[in-house]
Amino acid sequence: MATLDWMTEAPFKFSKVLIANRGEIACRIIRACREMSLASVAIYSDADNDPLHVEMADESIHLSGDDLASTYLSGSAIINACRAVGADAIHPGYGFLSERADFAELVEASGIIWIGPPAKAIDSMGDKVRARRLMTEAGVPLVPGAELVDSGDLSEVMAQLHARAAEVGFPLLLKASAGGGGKGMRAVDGAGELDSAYLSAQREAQSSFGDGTVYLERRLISPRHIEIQVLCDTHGNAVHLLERECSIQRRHQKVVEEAPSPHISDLLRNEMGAAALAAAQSVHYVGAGTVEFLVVGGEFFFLEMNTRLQVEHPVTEMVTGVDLVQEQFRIGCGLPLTLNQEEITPRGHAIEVRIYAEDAANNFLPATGPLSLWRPPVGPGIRLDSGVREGDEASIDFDPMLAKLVVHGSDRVRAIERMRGALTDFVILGTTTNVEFLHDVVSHPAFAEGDTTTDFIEQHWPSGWSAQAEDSVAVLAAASGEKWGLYLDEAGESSGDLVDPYNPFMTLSRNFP
Amino acid sequence: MKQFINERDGEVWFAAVVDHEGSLRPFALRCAGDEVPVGDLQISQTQSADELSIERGGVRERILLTKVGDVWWVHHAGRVSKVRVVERGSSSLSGAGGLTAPMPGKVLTVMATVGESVDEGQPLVVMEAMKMEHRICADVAGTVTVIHFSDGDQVEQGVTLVEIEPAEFSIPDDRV
Repeated sequence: MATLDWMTEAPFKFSKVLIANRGEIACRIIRACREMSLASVAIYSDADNDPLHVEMADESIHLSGDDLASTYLSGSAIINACRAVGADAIHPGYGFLSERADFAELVEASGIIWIGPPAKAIDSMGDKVRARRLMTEAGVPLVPGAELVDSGDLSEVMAQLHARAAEVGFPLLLKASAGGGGKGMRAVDGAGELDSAYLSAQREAQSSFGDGTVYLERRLISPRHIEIQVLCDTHGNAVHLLERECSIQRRHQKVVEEAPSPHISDLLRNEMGAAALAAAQSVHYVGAGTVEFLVVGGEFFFLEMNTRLQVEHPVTEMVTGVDLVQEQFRIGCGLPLTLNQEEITPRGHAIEVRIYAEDAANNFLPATGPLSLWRPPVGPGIRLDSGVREGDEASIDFDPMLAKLVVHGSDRVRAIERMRGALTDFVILGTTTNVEFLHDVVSHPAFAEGDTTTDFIEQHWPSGWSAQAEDSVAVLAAASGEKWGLYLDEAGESSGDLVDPYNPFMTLSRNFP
Repeated sequence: MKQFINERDGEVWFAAVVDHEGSLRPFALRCAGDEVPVGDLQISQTQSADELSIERGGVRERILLTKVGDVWWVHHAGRVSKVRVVERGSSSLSGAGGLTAPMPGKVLTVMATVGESVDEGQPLVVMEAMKMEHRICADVAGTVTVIHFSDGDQVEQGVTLVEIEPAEFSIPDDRV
């Protein structure tokens, strides 16, 4: 097979990429493949029903099995799929196997190119306690905290716990070393709660991650969550692509992200960028990665490093003009970075919101149903990364995130206006989504102020969010729909299609039930 | 008679719309039994079956809507409402029925004639379905304009049996 022009100089050539993922991120990676003339292979399982990513990919391969463990989470099934279709590279996307060091190792050992960081880097950053030690050595500031030494004697460990807690100070967090997603994590306000919180965090960590190691960390009050995107090549070059502000979260999941952060100075940005690069280089990182920090006032503290492409990567792409997935492919075949740090400056402002199939008025419970109408907004500065299209079903089998809506404006005020308009125009009917909630978040005066902290939602909707609409118009619309019969009959044909408003017979008092 | 239940708060609405030069105008809108003023408002169809145009005070707005089961999903001004359609009295012998057949069955007796003035709640048709009699009653006071079936006819679910021109609404002269 002829080598692609852009890959001529590359030491590790590939031509066909298997995307070990689904949904919007699979679609986004397939688009990058297409633009770079790489062949793309999608995988799918029985739980997928004619999914968009399969339609978009050049080829697709079915993984048999009725659970995630035997399909999207099965390293061996995915390697076998690569062999079956002749794919010579794997892009893991985010989630699933993207941060499994053992999978990265298996891919590399199979002679397939891994579009991700080396297994060792994933491993080092995946263990929170080890990562903290590495960061201390690299001079990266850490949230004040402490480790516990497991002597095997519970009463001795409890004594240690109390001594360390007194040093760290309250309120504090107990965190699972192997943790993530809030599992094995407990907030502790005073010494009286320590024992029970420790025991339950440890139990949860053991059962979730097979590792009961728990450490202590000071709990910062109303911190901002700001992260730095980095790119590192195989030649030792590294750049950071500025920051993303991801403070607005619900249940430890990000909901709104933006770049640049409305509240950090150039000085702080440079310091955080340098710290992020130091963190990445301390584990000999290669590829795209994100170093997360908590920021309080003018101080920042290392939180963790995500050794993969992030969900919110598009806001960085919008303000830097860099296509991160294409950069991942260039790095993957061993090409050196062509970006210079000095050239990377923010242009305008970008905001991303995550469209979830969930009921924001009912504690954000996941919602299911048909996407009977799916009409995304269009216009200047609007980008939609979607994994679904009209007629698809929102099911409980996978993550409830349907799409990411991203806007770009010349400044933050214009970006907010654009996002409000885009969310107003976004029509999703048949499944409950958080679109209206997102609209109210970005329309909130505190959001306009840039006053975004991780407790934004609890602070501004302490007793929950509720929807508003002009009920009389909705009822009249339904009554009109009934009168005109604007719905599908059993044969799947809309009787409304038969109704031509310019047909003079329409003015006869005919009723279509 | 059809009722509309707003899924957000469970409020029960009654809404009647009538043809006016190809558009629809509300002539009655009640929420929980109380009259809701609608002002000068007109709803038109568009080229698309899932889009309506609403005009009030000279301003046009777009509504997108689709029916999933018994529920209308309505998108208006960035907000989504779910409105469930209920056929009041459709499953009971007593009480009013809609002007449409609540289920497939047979027309037993047509009790009204074209041109007759009827009162709200006056029985117009008696149907038999599922071995039960259903009385279809006038949902408004007005004049019977069309009767679609005769005694003994078989009817499908949902078809309109009788049409009434409401008394409060004058018929424009230019109407075809």
